[in-house]
Amino acid sequence: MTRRSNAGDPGERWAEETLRPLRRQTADCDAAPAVLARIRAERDAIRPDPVSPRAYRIAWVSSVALGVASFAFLVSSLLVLVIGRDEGVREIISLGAATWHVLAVFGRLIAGAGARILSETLPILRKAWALLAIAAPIVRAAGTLAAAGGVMSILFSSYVFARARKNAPRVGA
Amino acid sequence: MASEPADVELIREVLAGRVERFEILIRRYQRLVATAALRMGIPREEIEDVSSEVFYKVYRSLARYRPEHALSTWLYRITVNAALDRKRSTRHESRMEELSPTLSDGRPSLDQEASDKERAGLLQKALGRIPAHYRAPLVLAHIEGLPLEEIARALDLPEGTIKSRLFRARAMLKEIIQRHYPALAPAGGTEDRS
Repeated sequence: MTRRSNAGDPGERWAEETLRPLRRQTADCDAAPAVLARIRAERDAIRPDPVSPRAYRIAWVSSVALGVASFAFLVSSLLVLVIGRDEGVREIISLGAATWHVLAVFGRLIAGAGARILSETLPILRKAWALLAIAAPIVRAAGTLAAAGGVMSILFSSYVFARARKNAPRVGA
Repeated sequence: MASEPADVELIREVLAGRVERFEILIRRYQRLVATAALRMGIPREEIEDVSSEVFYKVYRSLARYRPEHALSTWLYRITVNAALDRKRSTRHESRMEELSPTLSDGRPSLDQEASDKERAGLLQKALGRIPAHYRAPLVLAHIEGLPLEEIARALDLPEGTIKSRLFRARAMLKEIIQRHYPALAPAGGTEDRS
C-alpha cells in the first residue's frame, strides 16, 4: 500500500501496531451440518412428489372417461327435455324464435332503407359528376387566374411597401 | 496420497448436483469465514449462525462464481456483507471478545494474553464507532492482511476509493483512540513520519 497522503492519517505501521491484538483473534465453527441440512430441506421442498407413470396414465384415462360421461349426461338430459316438451325448454324455444323474427324484420327494414337512399341519391351524384366534368376547364382557368392575381397582389404590395419605406421621414433627420 | 480437489473442481461438481461435495468447501473455508466475521465485530455466540448464512448464500449464488478470482476473496466479500447486515439488524455493540491462544510465534504469557484480551475488546469497541464502509477496508487491510487489489475486489470498489477510505478510517481510529481509549495507543509512537 502507498505512503500517507491524507492529513490525520497515522499511517500503516501505526494501524498494524494498534490492531495487532485483533489479528491474534481466531474463530472456528462447524457450519457444514446446518448448511447442508438447509440446502437439502430446500431441495426437497421444491422437488415434486415421485409419481409412477402408471398412476399418471390412470389419472389421464379416468379424467377423459369422466369428461366423456359428463358430456353424454348433458346431451341426454337436453334430449330428454326437448323430446319430453318440458315447459322451460318450450319457453326458451319460443323466445329464441321471437328473437330471430325481430332480428329478421329489423334487418329487412335496414336493407330497404339503404336501397331507397341509394336509389334516390345515385342520379344526383351522377349529374353532379357530369357537371364537374363539363366545368373542369372553366375551374382550371379560374384557378390559374386566381393564382396570377395572387402573384400580382404580392408584387404590388412589395412595390408599395418599398416605396413607402423610401419616402418615410427619417428619425433625427 | 490423493491430492485435495481444487475449489473450481468442487464447485463444478456441486453445480452438477453433487451437493455433498459442498461440505468439503465448507470445511476448507469455515475457519476463514468465522475469523473474518469475528474480526468484523460479530460476537462469538453468533459466529456459527453468520457462517452458515454465508455458506448458504455462497451455495445459492455458486453459478455466478468467476474462477479467475480466488474463492477466498468472494468469501470475504459475502462475509463482510453478512456481518454488516447482521450488525445493522441487531445493532449490538461490539463486545469483549475472547482471545484464542493461536499465536504463530509461540504462546503468549498469561499476563500478555490477558492484556491482549482486554486490548482486543477495547479495539472492537473502537472499531464499532467507525462507520461500516470505512471499517470494512480497515479490517481487511490491517487485520486480515489482504492486499489492496483483493480488498477492492472483495468490496467491489475501485482501488482509489479503498485507499482514500483506508486513510480516513485510520484517521478516525486514531481520533477515537485518543479521545475514548488512550490506553490503546501503541507504545513508542510508531506513527509513520513519511
